[in-house]
Amino acid sequence: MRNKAPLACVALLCAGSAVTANAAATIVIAVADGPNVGFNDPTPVSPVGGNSGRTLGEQRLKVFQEAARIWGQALTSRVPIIVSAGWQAQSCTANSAVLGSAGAVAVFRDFAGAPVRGTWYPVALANALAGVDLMPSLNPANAPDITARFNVNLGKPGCLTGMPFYLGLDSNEGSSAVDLLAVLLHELGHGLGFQTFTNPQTGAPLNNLPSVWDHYLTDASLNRTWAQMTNAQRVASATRTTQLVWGGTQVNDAARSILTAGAPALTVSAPANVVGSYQVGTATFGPALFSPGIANRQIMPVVDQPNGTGLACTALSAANVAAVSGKIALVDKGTCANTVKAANVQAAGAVAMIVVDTLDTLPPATLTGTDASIRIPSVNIALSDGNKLKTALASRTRTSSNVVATVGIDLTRRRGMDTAGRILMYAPNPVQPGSSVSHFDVTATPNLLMEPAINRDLGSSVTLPQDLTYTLLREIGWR
Amino acid sequence: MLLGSAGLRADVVLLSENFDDISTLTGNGWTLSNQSTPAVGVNPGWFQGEPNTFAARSGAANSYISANYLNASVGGNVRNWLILPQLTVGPNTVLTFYTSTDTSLFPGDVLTVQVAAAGSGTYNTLLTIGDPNSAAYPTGWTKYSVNVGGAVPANVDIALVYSVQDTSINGNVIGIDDLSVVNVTSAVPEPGAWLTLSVMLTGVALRKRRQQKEGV
Ligand SMILES: [Zn+2]
Repeated sequence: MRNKAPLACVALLCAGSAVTANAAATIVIAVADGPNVGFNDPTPVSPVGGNSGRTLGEQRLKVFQEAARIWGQALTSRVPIIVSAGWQAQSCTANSAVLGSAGAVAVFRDFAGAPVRGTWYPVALANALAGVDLMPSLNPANAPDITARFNVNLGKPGCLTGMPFYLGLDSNEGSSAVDLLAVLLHELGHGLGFQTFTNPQTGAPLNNLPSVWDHYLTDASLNRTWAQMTNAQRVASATRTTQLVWGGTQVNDAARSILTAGAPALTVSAPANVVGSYQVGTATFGPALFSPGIANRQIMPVVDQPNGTGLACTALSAANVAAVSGKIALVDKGTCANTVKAANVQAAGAVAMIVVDTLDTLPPATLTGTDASIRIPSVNIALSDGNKLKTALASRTRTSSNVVATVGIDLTRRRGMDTAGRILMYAPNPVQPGSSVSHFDVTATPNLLMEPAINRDLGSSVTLPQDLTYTLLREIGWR
Repeated sequence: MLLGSAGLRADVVLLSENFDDISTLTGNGWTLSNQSTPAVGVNPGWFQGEPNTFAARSGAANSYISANYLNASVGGNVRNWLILPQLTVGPNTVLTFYTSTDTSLFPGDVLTVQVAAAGSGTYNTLLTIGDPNSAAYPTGWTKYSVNVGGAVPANVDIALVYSVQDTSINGNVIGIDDLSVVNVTSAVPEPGAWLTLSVMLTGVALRKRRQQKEGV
């Protein structure tokens, strides 16, 4: 059985070059650009970072060949993997841009050698598992398995202005360029299977069957995989930041060996109905979070507005001083700078500050600002988390509360993993179609290739001990 | 047991409540009604005792009922009613309970005991604790007893009403524990009178004296 994934495959305009040297899998690049565009751009360029191409198009192709070589070396398949690759305009602004996009062209289920029945596999993986080309008839010469498109305008005015692709092969892009090699490795990762074919906005699986991804994508709060959920449960799960995890042991075992121990957190230890580890944005001012941190202190809110909120934009009243002295002060975002709030609660004797954001965005934004006089740590939490704490705080006195928390580094977690040792998957709220649930979470430290944004410190490895992408592909069936 | 000289009496306990779990009160005929103004979005009304505020007089640390100045929004007035199940009271029916606040730093908490003919809604105040014109609200568990009966047996509503005027500057928190209503069949208290007894403080003083004597 075969099903077209909802990903367009543009007409192939020009056959590409096969990469076979030392490869356990062969990745063929089918160039989809017209004359003088993209891989065919004749603009002369100087050699850069080990890339000897003499035109812009040549250099782009050499980077692609390097990415194909790296993936070809890691993977095993008797069937060549054909990638339709091209350059075109992608959405961008002066400060942000879609670097590229890629995906499987088709998905298969219940083929000979399929590990899990009734489950969609991307065609390149299905071919590898079956040991034969499952769709040879479409275009025997080079029917693509993966389609990949890259932003041809990157770095031009209005499109991540001044930040073009770096075309060197040495991951030495510096601070004013985006490493194309990392972008290519990332996008090929999606095409090889680092994605679900289930729609995270509607929860609807492709043709009512789960993707192999969905057998591993797990909601910790429901203790179920996506394959075990209803559409409505998947929709809710897609935005459940810190609860959406990878359920496979291979990735999680590997992640424990490479992700940094200790994660910033607000850990509430009482009362029972709000106990838990809350995701925080850290602050650019005040001391860095440490372990165990400001431990087991009561949270007390500042109240200085008629509606019961507290902005802490002016020196605290006697009543508020009595409330927050020696406690973790809870304040609301807005009206004045975060540093002003921190200075005011610090002057009142607070030992740390929690800012309740006006947004429900997860992870919460970083608290920005500079003030060298701030000596207490500050964290930002999402609006709904703040409201949950405020409800629990409604039974406080003027000087004490029943809400006890630790602001610091939670050593029981690794950065980008949950307390049960599972790697977090990207589940922002609101959902981001095309990014949500098909990436690792942004909190992974050190940075991983398959986070939703390309970080500057990535190398060019897809395997351990640098990266988890190949480990995950192995877990879903690649060898 | 109550008011001493137990051997001469055959008291009948009409109601006994330790507030181990206040979620059971409504099912047992109690009414919890927060009539504070203005209303608050996040309104705890009466809530289970918080161990961090102070521990219960008896039982688990949270085994008491509590209310606080946050029953009304900032600058509002608290009037939070805790109404007992309807009871038939006689001439010597005594309500006894213990109450406490957290600290003397934030005065303004007031608790009244009010009684009405059953269903009439016309309440008479029999006892006021934390009256700003007299004694401050006790900062340790303190026993209060009040005769809630009339001359002839009658069905009554008995209410404990927590109030604060202007929560922007007044009020803090109160707890109530170990409440009972008992028909005292002899050893008549003063008709219509009420008693406040600082039993805990007295008890401590007595123990100290006794220990000193034993030490000699
Ligand atoms: Zn991606």
